[in-house]
Amino acid sequence: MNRRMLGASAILASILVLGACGQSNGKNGEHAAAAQETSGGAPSASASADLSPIQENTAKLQQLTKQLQEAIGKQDAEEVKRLGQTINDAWLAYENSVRQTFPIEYTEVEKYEMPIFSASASDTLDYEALSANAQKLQEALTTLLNAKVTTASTSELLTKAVAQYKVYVQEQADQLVSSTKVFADAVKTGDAEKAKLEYAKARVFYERIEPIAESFGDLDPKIDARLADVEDENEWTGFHRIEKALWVDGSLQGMDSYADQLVKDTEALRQQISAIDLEPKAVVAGAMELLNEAAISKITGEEEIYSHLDLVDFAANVEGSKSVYMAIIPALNEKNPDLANQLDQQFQQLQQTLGGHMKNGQYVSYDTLTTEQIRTISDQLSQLSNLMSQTASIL
Amino acid sequence: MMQRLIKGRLLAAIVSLVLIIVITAAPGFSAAAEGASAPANARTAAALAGTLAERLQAGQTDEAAETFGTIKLWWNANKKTVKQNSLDMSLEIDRQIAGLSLDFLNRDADKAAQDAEALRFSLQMYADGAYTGNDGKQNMTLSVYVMKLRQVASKMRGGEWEAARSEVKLLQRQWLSVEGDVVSRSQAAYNDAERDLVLMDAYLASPSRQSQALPVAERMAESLSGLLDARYSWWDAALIPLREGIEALLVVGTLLMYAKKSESRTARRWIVGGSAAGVLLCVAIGFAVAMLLSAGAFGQSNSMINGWTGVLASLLLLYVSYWLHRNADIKRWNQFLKTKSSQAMTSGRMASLALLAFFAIVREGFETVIFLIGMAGKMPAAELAGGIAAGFAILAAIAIAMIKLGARLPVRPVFLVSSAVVFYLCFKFMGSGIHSLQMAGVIPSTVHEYLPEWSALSLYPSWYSTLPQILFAAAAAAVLAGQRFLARRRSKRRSEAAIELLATKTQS
Repeated sequence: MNRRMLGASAILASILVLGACGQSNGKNGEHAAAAQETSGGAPSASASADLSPIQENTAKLQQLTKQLQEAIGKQDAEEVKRLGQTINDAWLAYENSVRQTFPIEYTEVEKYEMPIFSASASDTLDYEALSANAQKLQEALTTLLNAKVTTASTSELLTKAVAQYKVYVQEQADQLVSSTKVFADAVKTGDAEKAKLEYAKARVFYERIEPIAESFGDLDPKIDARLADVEDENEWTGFHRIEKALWVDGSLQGMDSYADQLVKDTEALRQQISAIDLEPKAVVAGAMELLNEAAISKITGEEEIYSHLDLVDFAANVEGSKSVYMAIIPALNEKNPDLANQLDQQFQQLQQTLGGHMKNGQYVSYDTLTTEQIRTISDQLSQLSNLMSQTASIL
Repeated sequence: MMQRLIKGRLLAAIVSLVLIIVITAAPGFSAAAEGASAPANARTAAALAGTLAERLQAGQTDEAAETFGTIKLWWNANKKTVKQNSLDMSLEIDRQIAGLSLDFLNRDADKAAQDAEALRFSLQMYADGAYTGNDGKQNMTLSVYVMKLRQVASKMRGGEWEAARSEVKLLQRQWLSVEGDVVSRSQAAYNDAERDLVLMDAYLASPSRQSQALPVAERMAESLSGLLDARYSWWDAALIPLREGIEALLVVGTLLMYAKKSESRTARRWIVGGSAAGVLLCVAIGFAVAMLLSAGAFGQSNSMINGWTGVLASLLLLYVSYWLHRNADIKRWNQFLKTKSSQAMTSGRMASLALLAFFAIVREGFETVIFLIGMAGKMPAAELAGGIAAGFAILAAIAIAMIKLGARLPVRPVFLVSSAVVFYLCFKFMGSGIHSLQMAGVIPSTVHEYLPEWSALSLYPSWYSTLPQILFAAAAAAVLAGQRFLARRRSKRRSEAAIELLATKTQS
């Protein structure tokens, strides 16, 4: 009797207290549910309305891409450039609705459309690469044409985003290893001119995934340390050590061992990356870190003090950040579709500005930029950072 | 009788055993948490950021650029460690350094000076362990709290009212992490701080009075900084249960006394049951919060529990006070004992007794446990355990004295005095309950300076807390006046009857 009463009073009382603390949670919960309802309602409504215009535009884009493929086959440079521009205009005209309705298909199209457009602005054309991209673009457009609206919870979307981003990271790591090998071979054969070209190519793959690379023990300093970062110059290894030899010392003597070590370290990095377990929070943070990197050492000209290839690294950081953004678009659509639009515009603006600093398909040397030009780039970067910092809200 | 005493002792022994286990286990936990915290050179980096801000303000651009270079190198070398401790903190610092890089690039010295100050603050927070780690834990200290308060004051000075207000909200939430440190050193500083937190929020909320928030922030920082580097003795530990427990003890003691006077063993069981449930819940949740969550994260819920239990207890107490007062009349009391034997008491009333005891204990109980655990890292375990034991022993002595004395004294004075005490508690619980709900953001914070302020009575200058208190006082006055009126009429009737009697006697 006694015990039963004690129990009853304890339960009654704790229900009351828990009720009091649950008050705030309850409110938040309702709010979140309401928010989800409104955000969930919008895309599906627009989906049914926009479905046929998307298909129409996509069919038109496929037509244009077919013409492009023919022009590539004929190696008609002028026509390729004209069509590259036209395709981009046609895509920009309706990409917002695609992003909101079919985010995953959007990412695929964007991936192959971008290089075709940048090629159209370049002086020299790589027909082989263009042909491959045009083929992929055609496939992506076919997928988009047949796409169905999917509904998934935010956590599912985030899990997918992480999986998608992981594929990207692995691709970059693979390409880092192969391009570093080519670079190392050029260094070992003493071909300084080729080594300089390959250096710029290999750097891109590292800079795109820098935050991930940084998370592995001492691999980042071994691969990417600058002279200023090391305590003992004799222990300095990696890209920047060879950069100094190429651009300042003008001699590749003794660089063989550094080249071999660099290949080994990038292989170790790839190995580590293949086993990595990524969290949504870390991935989203990575997009921000890449933009921070660009601001801290690239736009200041501190990353490539000998080769002045800072713009190459800068662009790679931005590309890496953009690939995170692309992966999280479905989740952004769910929580904050407006932010996705703004980010898209800001990335476009910044990449357009960067594209204006290319000559013969290569970024110009950092030391040729005027103060005004640097200011424009850094202002646009800073705006992009402000937007990107809001992406944490989707977690 | 003997058996009951033994039962009581057993309960007390179990409770103190649990407490001692909690307390002695705590230093190990906090030591482990400190082991995983900031690299030793984070403080140096914070100092560098301070130098950077000074140089930028002084217009020494070249020297500032040099300092910033050193900070960048530090960051490059330590970013990974910071990231492993706290991704959030690393992102915050990274973003600030990126922002500063652009400021330098664009030669924007003013913005750079601001950003450098923000960076210094972040680094200082990191060095002090005041960040949410990747494991979700936080390690806030009073010195960081005071620093944040000063930061808020400087925001107010700069006219950044919106930013200041959101910071104040954050400070309200983080208060629980540090209030144990404060209350164990100075009850006055603690009371002032709790009032000032609500005041600042209220001032910042109204555009015409924002400027009044600054002196409040300043005096609060001043008062709290006086407590920094405080050392604790066993007496400080003993004072915590005494300060926090005396009100609960008065409530439970009064209820037990009533149970004894009415010779209802069932009532006694319900009261003891409610109290025990309260104590166990406090120890369990307090322990869980301190060990598993950060106290700061729990801050808002604590204010909420504190507030609702305070208000509910106050309403129940109002009734108890009235009931005690009514039954202070010996005739009524005897009648009560006759008609309402303990068996006839409704289970509803029994449950309300248990609930009241429960609320009275829960109201301050979590805090007490969290405070005590908070002190654990700051003094020897034996001294702390001794202090707590002493505190509870004094409480127990008061309780026993109260019940013994209550049993011996006549009904009327005991009930009148306890009715007054219970009314005082009811008045106070309502004021502090509403105040806590204001801290938790359930009720808007307002300030009306013409209202009196007196922390011993939980009088706060806000109509939200003062109005119910006035109603209580009015109700009490009405009851007293009503009874006096009735009594006078009765005595008047009696004297009239006597006069009549006298008249008839003289006539005859």
